Amino acid sequence: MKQAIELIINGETHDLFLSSNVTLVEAIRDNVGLLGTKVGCDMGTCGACTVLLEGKPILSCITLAVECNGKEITTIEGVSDGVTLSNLQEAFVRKGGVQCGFCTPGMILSGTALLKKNAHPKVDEVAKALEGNLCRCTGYNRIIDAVLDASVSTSHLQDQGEK
Amino acid sequence: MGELKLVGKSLLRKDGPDKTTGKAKYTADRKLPGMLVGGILRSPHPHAKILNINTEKAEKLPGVKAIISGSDTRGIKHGFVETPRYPPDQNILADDVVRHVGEEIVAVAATHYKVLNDAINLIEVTYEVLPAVFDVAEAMHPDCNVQIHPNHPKVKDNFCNIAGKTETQWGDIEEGFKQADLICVDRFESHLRTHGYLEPQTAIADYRGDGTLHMWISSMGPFVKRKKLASTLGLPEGSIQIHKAYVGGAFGGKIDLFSHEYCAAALSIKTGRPIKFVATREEIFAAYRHGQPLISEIKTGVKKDGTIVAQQLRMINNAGAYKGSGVVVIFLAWGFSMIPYRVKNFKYEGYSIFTNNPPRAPLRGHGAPQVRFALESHMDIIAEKLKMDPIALRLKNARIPGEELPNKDNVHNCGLQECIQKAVSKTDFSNRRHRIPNTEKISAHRPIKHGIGLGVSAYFGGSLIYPNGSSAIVKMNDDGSVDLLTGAIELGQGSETVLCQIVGEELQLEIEDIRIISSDTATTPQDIGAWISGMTYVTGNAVREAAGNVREKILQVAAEQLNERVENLKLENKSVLVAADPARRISYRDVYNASIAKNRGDTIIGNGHWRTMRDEPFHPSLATTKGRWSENYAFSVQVAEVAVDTETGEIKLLKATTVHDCGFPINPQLVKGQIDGQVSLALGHAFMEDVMMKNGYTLNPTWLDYRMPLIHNVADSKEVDVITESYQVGRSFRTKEVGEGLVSAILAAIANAIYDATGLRMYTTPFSPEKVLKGLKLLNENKGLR
Amino acid sequence: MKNGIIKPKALISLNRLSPEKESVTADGALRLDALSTLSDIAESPLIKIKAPTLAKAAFHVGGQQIRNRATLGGNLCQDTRCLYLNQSHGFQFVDSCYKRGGDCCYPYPAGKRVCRSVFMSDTAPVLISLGAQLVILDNSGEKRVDINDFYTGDGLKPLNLGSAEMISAILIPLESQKMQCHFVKATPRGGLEFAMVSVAIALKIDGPDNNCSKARIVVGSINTSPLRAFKTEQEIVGHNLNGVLAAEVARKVADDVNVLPHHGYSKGYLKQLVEVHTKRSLMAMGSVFPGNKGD
Repeated sequence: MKQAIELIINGETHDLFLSSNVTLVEAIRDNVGLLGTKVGCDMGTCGACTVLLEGKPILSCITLAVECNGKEITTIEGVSDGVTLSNLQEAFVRKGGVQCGFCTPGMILSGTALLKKNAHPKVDEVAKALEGNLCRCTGYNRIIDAVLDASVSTSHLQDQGEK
Repeated sequence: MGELKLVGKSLLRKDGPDKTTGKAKYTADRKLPGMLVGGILRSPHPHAKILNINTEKAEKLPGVKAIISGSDTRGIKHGFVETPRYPPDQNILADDVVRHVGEEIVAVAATHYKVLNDAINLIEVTYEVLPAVFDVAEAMHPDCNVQIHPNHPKVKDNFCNIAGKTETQWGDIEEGFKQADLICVDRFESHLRTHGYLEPQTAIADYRGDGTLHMWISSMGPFVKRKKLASTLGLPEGSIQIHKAYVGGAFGGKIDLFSHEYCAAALSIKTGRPIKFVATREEIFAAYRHGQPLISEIKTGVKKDGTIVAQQLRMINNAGAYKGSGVVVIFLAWGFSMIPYRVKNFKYEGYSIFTNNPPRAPLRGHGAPQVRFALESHMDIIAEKLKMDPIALRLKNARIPGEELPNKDNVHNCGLQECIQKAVSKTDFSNRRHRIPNTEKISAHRPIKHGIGLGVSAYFGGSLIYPNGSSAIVKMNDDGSVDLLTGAIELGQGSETVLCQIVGEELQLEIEDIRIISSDTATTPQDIGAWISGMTYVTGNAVREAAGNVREKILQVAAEQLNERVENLKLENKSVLVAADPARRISYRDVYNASIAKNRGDTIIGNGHWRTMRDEPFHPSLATTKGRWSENYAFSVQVAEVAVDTETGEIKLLKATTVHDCGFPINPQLVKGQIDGQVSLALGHAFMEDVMMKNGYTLNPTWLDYRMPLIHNVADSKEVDVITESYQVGRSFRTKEVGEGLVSAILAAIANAIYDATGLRMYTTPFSPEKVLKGLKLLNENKGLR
Repeated sequence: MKNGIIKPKALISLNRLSPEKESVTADGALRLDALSTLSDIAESPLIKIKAPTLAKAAFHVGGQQIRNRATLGGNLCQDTRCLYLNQSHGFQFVDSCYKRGGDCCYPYPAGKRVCRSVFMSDTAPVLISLGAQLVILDNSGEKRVDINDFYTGDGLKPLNLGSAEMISAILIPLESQKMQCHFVKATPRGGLEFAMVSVAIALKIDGPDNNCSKARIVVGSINTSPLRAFKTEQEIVGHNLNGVLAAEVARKVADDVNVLPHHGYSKGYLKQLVEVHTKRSLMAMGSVFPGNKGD
């Protein structure tokens, strides 16, 4: 059975007509055409498909698109302003938190949500926020460094009165 | 000589921004008009005759565009190794017999996944189930009633299911043991683990009207894949173009040919439409190729002073239903046994044994983790029996610079002795390890015991296997920037960045002035691929040559324009200047234009090529190990600090220290990334990862139950470089490797650390909590403790 | 659903119902909407005060992404798990087992039509230890069910929940909020997985002699439903627990509950874990057992 829904992705509204059994990641990748969100397992066990639903990290491979009708979704494409990388994205590159990059979009969204909620997370809080994102390449060391580094640079910006 | 500009610096990776913004394209991110989806019907039995396949109902389903089965691919064979001794033995789709659960039987092309899955469910296959064997001891046994394939014709041992054998010896092993003051015999076993790459196995094929086959494959080497596809499809190599895609991790599991890749091509040819195959994560866990379980039987004779006088090894690999990479791992296991220490009298036998399990693939280290775990545990056991310091024992036998190996290779600037010493001093090892193992009574208030252990390993950096060599092209642009064309593939290891650093060094360019175009079999030159740990050495030198070629041409033209001798010129800031009089200069831009004007349109293109073991025709014999193997040997020493919970059996790797002789790091941050990743892989191997199989079925084919390390399990990973080589502009360089060899010593170190903490010697991996508890209970019972 | 274990004819989304925020009823009970997400439960200041072991249990389910969507009701009503069951059955374990409506059991091939798939919820053991009541809705209205009566212990039909019923709210009585509580979830890696074992304890210490007047010791993830260590509970009720050895109580608990092997762990190992984690829990509840040496 098909339904007409509206997904607001990265601030842009997309009108879609799709079956109710289409997952959110399928809608994002195939219907809307945003390919930054990755599919690692398609069963909710790796975190590669993480997107933000109303600001909260969720697994888009086990979420139905129709359940997100009218809701705000942020994908990896929505993290930077399109011209400059966000502090966290830059920190990932600078600190060596990226290798093959397949887990990276999911990691960055989980990290972005964390920093929005908790500007100065401790190591165990970073770990708790990112425990649902698997990485096979980095051993996580540099990913933790990147999130902590971004939290410092973000707060510096705040101190200087910038966004 | 002077300071290096880019080489040796931790420059940020070039693909970093695209990977953090979602712009980096992986294979599944490719959409082609009219693209179909493909899937495979797999065997539900570990061993069975196929009596009949009926695809009629499936074919009639609307949306099903083509179906192929074994009758379409009969006689087409492929294998990880394809030599006269080990001819290819794998089928694309099963012939009359399936030999492992998940073996490919039928491939279907359909318009949508729902249709595809319905179609696969409509295919009727009748089987006659055959007896099966899974355990290596059972399969080898002379009375085994299940012969999966005939024994290898050249191996006459009285065993069954022999897929291959490697044997070699030197000296006089019997005499050696007679000279020994102590003989030590041990047996170790390493279990089945898997790669766990985040990006699934994916292939897209698009056969076009002009007879060209275009593919996108998540692989480790597009030229290797192209060769195998050409030979199995019966197409000329040149008609197949494998395009670039970033790869989401491979760790050894994506180098040889997979059925789905052939099927994608064949179905595209059959339907005239592009088609995409994406393996499900369950298929990957239950039907694709995992790592190599290995049994190590060791007998070593030593003198009182610790000199190893004799060593006899037998290694047995559970190969799975086809040869796979098993016949290679038994060769490599020999190599990883003999590199680090000098052994006067040596005998090695390695057996690869067929079982009704899926065939195996290389898994980061390809035998080294298993072998070094065994041998380094064994070294500590010997040290204790000799009442000798385990460090002194190792130093006594460790290779020294310039030493020749038994296969006539040379270890050149081997930094092993220095690695051992630095590891010990950096971790204060000798003071911190227990003089006798810590076996004091377990207390409920202090159930955690700490220990420290050390392991030594060695790896090779580059060897000969198709395509045997790499080429590179560097071409100039008007503005003085360059494009680097290389077939090298970026899996996450940072190849694109490292190769640009080399170009930048040769041409004194900033990294932003170098654009890299990579891993396309038509538009970039041949590359050996991201395996056999040779990329930095082989492709790196090819790239260096190509850039050097450009440098020579620039200097020639500049010399003419400036009316100066080449020796008096230097490169700086995209210009050539007279060293003694810098005001006299010419920009690269002007050099470029001058070249076109004066040299009949020469747009300054440089090319380079490199091959390891230049004087050797081919790889050493897999059967006898005879022949030169590599000209680069990397050495490493790793120290593990663990905490053992003696009530739950759980063990944490608290800290890993890696001291490595990688030659010199081209990009230290990327090197560190490789080390961290390998420490993580090792702790997964040690404590939590286990492909649980029963009667050929995989019980835990998901990430919920195949437990890879999480962010909670990160170990404090420190590293120390032992620099034994250097980089000089215009000269070839020797680097070693850093991407595969650093899983091994840390795994061994963990085993030794567990012994240090508790007195419990682990002989099999994983060091699961249950095993640890059972072992501790026995220990305590034997010692009369609680 | 992706694995084809259940194939519902219709799926009704509860997404559009906004969960009520946690509240305190007139008689002091803590009322939680079944649709509260696990992350809301984990982060709620009120729940952290009034039922901290529930907040902790919710905090350790899966990962952040799962907690943001998973509901308390959903966690309580989850199906039992088994390695042979929780796969897609494309080419493995193709013949349906009892739980899938078929005629066999892979891990226990001989024997009667019994399913020993294990109930893995973390919130259930905690709520049992807190003596929770479930508010269940059906066509005729609302009814209260003691959580102890909600789990059948039958792997084939683990819940006492009719097809037209759903949990709408969970009530934690005031008395339970004043008990000494502890919860531990033992996992191999510390996150993103089901428990090897879990232990939820609630003890009421009062009276002039500081006796234990009520005890609930619940072990989760080791059987077809969470199990109460009833015998052990009865043994310690009415006694002053000073000097009681945590180790001894823990040993009794491990004997008291029937541990089933699951997910590759053996019965013996899991039983050992029940004992160790119960002991460590009791030691951590230090104020209850002053003077306890543990050995």
